[in-house]
Amino acid sequence: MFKQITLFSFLAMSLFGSDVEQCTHLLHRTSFGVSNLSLSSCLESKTYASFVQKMIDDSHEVDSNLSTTFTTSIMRPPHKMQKPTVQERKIFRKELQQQNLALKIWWFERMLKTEKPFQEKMVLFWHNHFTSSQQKVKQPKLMYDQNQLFRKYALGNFREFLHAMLRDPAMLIYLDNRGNKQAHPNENLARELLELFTMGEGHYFEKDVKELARGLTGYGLNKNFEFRFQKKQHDFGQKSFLGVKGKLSADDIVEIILSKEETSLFIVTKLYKEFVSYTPNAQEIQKLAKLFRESDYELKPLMLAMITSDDFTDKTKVASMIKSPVELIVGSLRSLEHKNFDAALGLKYMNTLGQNLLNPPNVKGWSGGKRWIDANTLLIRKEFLYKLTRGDEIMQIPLEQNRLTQILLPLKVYITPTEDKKKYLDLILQHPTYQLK
Amino acid sequence: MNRRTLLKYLAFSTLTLPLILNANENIQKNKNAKLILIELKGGNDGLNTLIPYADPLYYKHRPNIAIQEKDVLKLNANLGLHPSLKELKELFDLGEIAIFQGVGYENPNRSHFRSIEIWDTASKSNEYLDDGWVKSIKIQNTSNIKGVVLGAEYGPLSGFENGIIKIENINSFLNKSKKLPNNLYLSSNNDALEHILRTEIEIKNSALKLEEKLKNTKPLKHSFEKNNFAQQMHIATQLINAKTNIPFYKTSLASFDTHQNQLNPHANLLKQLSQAIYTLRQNLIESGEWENTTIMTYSEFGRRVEENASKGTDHGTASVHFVIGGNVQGGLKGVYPPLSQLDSNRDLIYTTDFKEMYSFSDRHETAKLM
Repeated sequence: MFKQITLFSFLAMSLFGSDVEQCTHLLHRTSFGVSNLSLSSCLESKTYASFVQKMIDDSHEVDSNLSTTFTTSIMRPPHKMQKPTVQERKIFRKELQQQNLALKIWWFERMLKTEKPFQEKMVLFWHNHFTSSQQKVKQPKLMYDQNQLFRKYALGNFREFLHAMLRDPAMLIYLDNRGNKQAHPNENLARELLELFTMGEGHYFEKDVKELARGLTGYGLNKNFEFRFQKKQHDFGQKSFLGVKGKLSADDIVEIILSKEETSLFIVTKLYKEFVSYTPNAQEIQKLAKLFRESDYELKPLMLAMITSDDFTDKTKVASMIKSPVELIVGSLRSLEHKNFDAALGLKYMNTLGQNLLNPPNVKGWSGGKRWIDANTLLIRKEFLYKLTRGDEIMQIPLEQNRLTQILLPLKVYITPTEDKKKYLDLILQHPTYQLK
Repeated sequence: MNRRTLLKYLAFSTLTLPLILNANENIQKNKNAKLILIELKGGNDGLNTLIPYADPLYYKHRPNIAIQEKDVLKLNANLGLHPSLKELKELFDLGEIAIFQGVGYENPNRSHFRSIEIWDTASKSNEYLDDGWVKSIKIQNTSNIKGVVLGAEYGPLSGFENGIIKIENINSFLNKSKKLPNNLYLSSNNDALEHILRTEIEIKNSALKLEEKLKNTKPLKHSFEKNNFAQQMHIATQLINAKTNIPFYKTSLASFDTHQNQLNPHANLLKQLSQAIYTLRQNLIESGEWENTTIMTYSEFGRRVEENASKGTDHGTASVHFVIGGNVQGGLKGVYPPLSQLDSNRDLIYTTDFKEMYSFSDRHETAKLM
């Protein structure tokens, strides 16, 4: 049944006309899938740049109109049980499980229903950058607070963001900083802060890790799981970090880190690899990093420059990346206007596809890229997509076949028209290029 | 910084014949040879795995998390295994397990990600290679499936053009693969698309072969535990017993990154490791494949000698590793790094380069070294 697909047309580009192609490329990268509505509004905007500008401005504001079934009141305040009995422990574990799932569903629904998908995409990016996991943190409220912090700074100032992260309770638990005390420093947060959150490996020495760990001693939590600087545990002594000497606190050290070009290069490269291409262009990265530093680490101008750059709009970049499980699942549901899909099932698929939301596999986050697809996950992706067309709801989408191809496939592919709408949708969704963005 | 550098390094190593040569030779000699790699993900604490229980420094550095002498499964007057490893102790007594001490490398890197890359590619600390070290083994194997990744990343099995598949559940893999369309393969200048098309073809080819081989197999006699790692070992066992003739298997046991309260979680992980290896062995003995099979553990690093304030351990350097199999000459290999001589970071100084350890995994070569 699939033989009629002509793979020859993979090589053909630019068949939709440049505006459509530019818009779908932009939306595939900055949103979750392309919807009929989002494509129209992009096409109707005056210029590409003005559309991008508006998208970024809009996404900086938290979407308060978004109604979801979730309220934080179902989450018990973070607390520690005093010598719980076996039964109490069991109940607690069950509650925890339910609350963790409720939180995931809450985020899933936000991504599905928001009118500011770029904001959620940035939140997802930061979740994969400043990683924490429910599994380790255990307190759902703290994971919720962290997620909201990502929303607040999604397109804000990276300097303020970084300082805030050093005080984020979920982060302090995730990277064991509660146990980081003057007498015996715990290096976990210090190391990952340098290696994964700011400078990248190779730009500092083991000694600097130790000095930062000393600076971070005493950054802990009180018994209500709120940030607390525990003076008694802090090492106020002389330190030397990347050649700067003094009685440095962790915040002083963060400023030293931000004064290094490597930090801007590292962050910009990571954003570039997420939004533009798996293969960074050194010259462009340098340019963007300079802008990032000169705007005192504001993310809005950086993202505007990146998304309107020639690199981003370059035709060879179209459909050159692979959708993450979240993009595949949320994107398909958004494009097909499938708003009542069982969120728990969607989350389960994300998990089996290798992206367990709020539970990245390790502190480096999901590696992504081509690694999203292997023999195992490709088959599960296809199974999920078959499931989508099985219900009746999908058949109500009021779009003609041409438009469907346009919004669903990132490259122009010839799909033989057929009377059977379900069959037509299957042909699109099962097509290898559907996995691309 | 290319593959050739590695080959050269290994081929002219003065200490021993490299695995690349003897595994090559071994697989040519024995085309049924299987290698199961177990990644202890997160950095396994070697000091609490092979315990220097006679050394007072061990107890001095670890007032809260040391394994007490009475609990240690003693191998000799100085060293013993963690109490969770009782099955491995039995294999030690049978001479089927070689325990390598102080395994690490020059200029150790303490980043999880960089260090595992060094292990996966068998590179030097300052050398950046792309392909997994297993790719260097020339196999005369006719199987179109060269390796199966059962847990986490491809790691040492990365870099193959084709023939490596990732499977989590055999039946669901076979069922789902039937629905896959027969796409034409066309090389394209789009890397991402090419990757997808290649994967589709890989699935088709592998499913065909597995289906045929697995058709008439009997259920395993000794059942595995329910945990994820045991299930990976279960699949490896099924594939080996079905005579699929797939030479390489990569499994993964996670959460060894024990920065805090490590005693219980670590004991648990070692138990899972020990039990699953034992069950796999029992099943492979049934099918007569145990003689053809070699199991190797690896991990990005060991952990700091001194415990931290949260009753855990930070990233360290050298650690202990196991080579197990029906054709392995068992015993303690190498030298335990002295706790009295630590590096400037207060970490153990390695005594065996892991790249050399790979060459011990064949009895023939090991014998030469004894």
